[in-house]
Amino acid sequence: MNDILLEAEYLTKCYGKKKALSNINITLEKGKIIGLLGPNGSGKSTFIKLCNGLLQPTSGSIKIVGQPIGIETKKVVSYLPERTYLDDNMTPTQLLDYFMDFYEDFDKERALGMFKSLNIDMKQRMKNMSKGTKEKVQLILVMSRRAKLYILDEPIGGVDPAARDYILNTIITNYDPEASVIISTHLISDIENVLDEVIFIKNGEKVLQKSVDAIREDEGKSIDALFREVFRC
Amino acid sequence: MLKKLIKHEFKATAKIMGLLFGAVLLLSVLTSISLKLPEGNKFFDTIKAVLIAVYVVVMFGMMFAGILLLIFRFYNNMLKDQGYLTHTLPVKMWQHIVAKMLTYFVWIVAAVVVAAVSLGIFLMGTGVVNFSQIGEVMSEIGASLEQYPQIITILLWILVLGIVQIFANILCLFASMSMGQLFGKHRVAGSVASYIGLNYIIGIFTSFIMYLPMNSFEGQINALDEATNIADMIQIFQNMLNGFFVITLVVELVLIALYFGITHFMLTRKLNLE
Amino acid sequence: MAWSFKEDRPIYTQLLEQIQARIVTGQYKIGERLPSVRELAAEAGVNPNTMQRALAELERIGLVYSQRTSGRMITDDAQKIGEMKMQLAQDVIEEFLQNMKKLGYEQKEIAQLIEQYPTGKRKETEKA
Repeated sequence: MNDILLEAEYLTKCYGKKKALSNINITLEKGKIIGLLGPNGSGKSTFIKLCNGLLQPTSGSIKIVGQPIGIETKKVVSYLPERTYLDDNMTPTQLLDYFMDFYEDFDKERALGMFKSLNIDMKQRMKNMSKGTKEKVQLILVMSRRAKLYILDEPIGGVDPAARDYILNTIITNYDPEASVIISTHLISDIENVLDEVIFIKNGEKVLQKSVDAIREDEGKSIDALFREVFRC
Repeated sequence: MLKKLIKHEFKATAKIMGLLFGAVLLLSVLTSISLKLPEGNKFFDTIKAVLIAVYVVVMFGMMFAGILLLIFRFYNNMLKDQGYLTHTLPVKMWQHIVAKMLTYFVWIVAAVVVAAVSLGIFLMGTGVVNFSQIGEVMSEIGASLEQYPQIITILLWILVLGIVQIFANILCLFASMSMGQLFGKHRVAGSVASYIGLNYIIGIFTSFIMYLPMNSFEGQINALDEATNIADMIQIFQNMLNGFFVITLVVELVLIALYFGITHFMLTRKLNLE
Repeated sequence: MAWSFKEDRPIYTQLLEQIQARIVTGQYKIGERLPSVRELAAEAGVNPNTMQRALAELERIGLVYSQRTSGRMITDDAQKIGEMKMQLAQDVIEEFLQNMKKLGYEQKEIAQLIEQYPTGKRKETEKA
C-alpha cells in the first residue's frame, strides 16, 4: 500500500444547473490532519457528502483506501456531520451498542473513557440533553472508531471554548500515524496549530493545498490571515 | 448485517407496539368481563359504554400503528437527519430496505393476530361464543375440510396473496417516500403525490391485466350451471379462482420488484439529504 | 512556561525554540525522560507531526536522544546544555542589538547603556 488515502479526480457535482464543485482534484496522504477551509456555500459540505456516499458525483471520481465509495470505504471512514444526526430517543448506552454492532473498528474502552471524563449520563435520552452535550456524544462516538479517515464537519461550531479544547485534544491524542483527519470549519484560528495542511475551497474550486508551516514560512502569516486575504469580499 | 438491522429496528419499535398489544388485550378482557355485569344499572352501563369506546379506539390505533411507525421511521432514518448515520453505515442499501420491510411486516401480522385474539375474547364476553363451543366448531370445520380438500388450497392461496399484498403495500410506501427526494423543498407533499400517482397508474394497469382472464370465465360459468353436487361446484370455482390467483400473484410480485427497484434507485443514485 | 505561538512564523521553529528554552532553564531536567510526542502535542495544542519534527531536530543537534524502551531522554551532557544556553543567549543578544541599532545606537553606546541600565535610567529621569 502506498501513502495515498484519498484521491479525488476531476470531481464535479451539479445541483440542477448550479455547480457546487467543479473539476476538483485532491490527493490526501495518511497520517495528516487536514483543514478543509472555505466560506459557507463554497462546496466543502458537498465534497464531504461525496466522500461519504451521501451524494453521487455528476462526473469524476473519488477513491478512499483505493476503493470507490461504498461498503468498503464506509468501514474505514468515521464521519461527524455538522448537525445532530442520532436517534433522539436513544441513550448513550444504546448508541454505544449500535455503533459497536455496525462498526468493527469501534473501541468501546476509548468511548467509555471519554464519556466518563466528560461526565455524560449514559442513561439519559439524547432529546433531554443540551445541544452542546449532544454534540459531545456524537464526537465521542465518531472519535472512538479506529478509522483510517475521520471526516469532521464543523466539529467546533457550537461548543464552548473548554469543549473546543477537549475536542482538539481528543483529535491529537487519538492521532494514529496510519489515519488522517479532515476538519472542515470556518473558525480557522482555533484549529490552525493542529493542522498539517490546508485546502482552500472557493466557489466550488480548490484554490490552494499546502502545508501549514510552508504557508507560514513562505507568506510570513498565519492561515487565518491568508484565508482572510484569499476570501476577501 | 441484515440481522443486526432487524434487531435494532425491533428494539426501536418494540416498546410502543408491545404497549399497544398489551392495551388491546387488556381492554378486550375488561370489556368482556364488563359485559357480564347485570343490565339496566346506569353505572354499569356507563362503564360498559366507555370500555367499548376505548377498546374500539385502541384497536384502531393498533391496526394503524404498524403503518404509521413504518412511515415515521423510514422518513426519519432514511431521508431526514438520521440518514447521515443510516447511509454511512457499512451496510448495503437492499439490506436497509429488507430489514425495514420485514420488521413492519411482522408488526402488521402481529397486530392482525392480536386483533383476532382480542375479538375472540370480546365475543366470549358477549356470549356469542363460549369455550365449550370452540371445540365443536373446530371439529366441524375439520370435517368439512376433509370432505372438500380444495378449500384448503383456496385458503392457502388467500393467505399467500395476503402476505404478498402486505409486502407490496409496505414497499409502495417506501417507494413513494423515496420519490419525495425529487421534489426539492416540498418533499412530504412530493411523497404524498408520488403515492397517489403510483397507485393511480398501477391501478389502471392492474385492472387492465385483471380483465384478461375474464374471457375464460364464461365457459366455467356454464359448467357451473350444469354441476349437480357441491364437490363439482367447488372444483369449478377452484378452476376459476386459480386463474385469478395466479395472475394476482404475478402482478403483486411484479409490483414488489418495481417498488423495491424504485426505492433502491432513489436512495442510492438520487439521495440528497438536506 | 506556557506554550505560545506567534502568527507569522512556522510552528515548528517556535516549538524547537520553546523546548530548547525549557531544557536550558531546567524545566525539563538534565537526563530526564521527555513526555511522549502525543502528550507534548496535546499539551501544546499542536499537530503531532509538527511536534515530531521538532523533536527529531532536537535529536539531530544532540539535545535529546532516543531510548528504545523509554522514549526520548534529555541529554545528560551538561556541557552540551551549557553550550546551548550560550547559543540562545547569543541569539537574544543578537536580536536585542539589532533592535537597538534600529534606534540609532552604536554598539559601544549600547554597552554603556547596559552598564548603567537601572541607574542610567534613574539619572535621566532625575535630569528631566
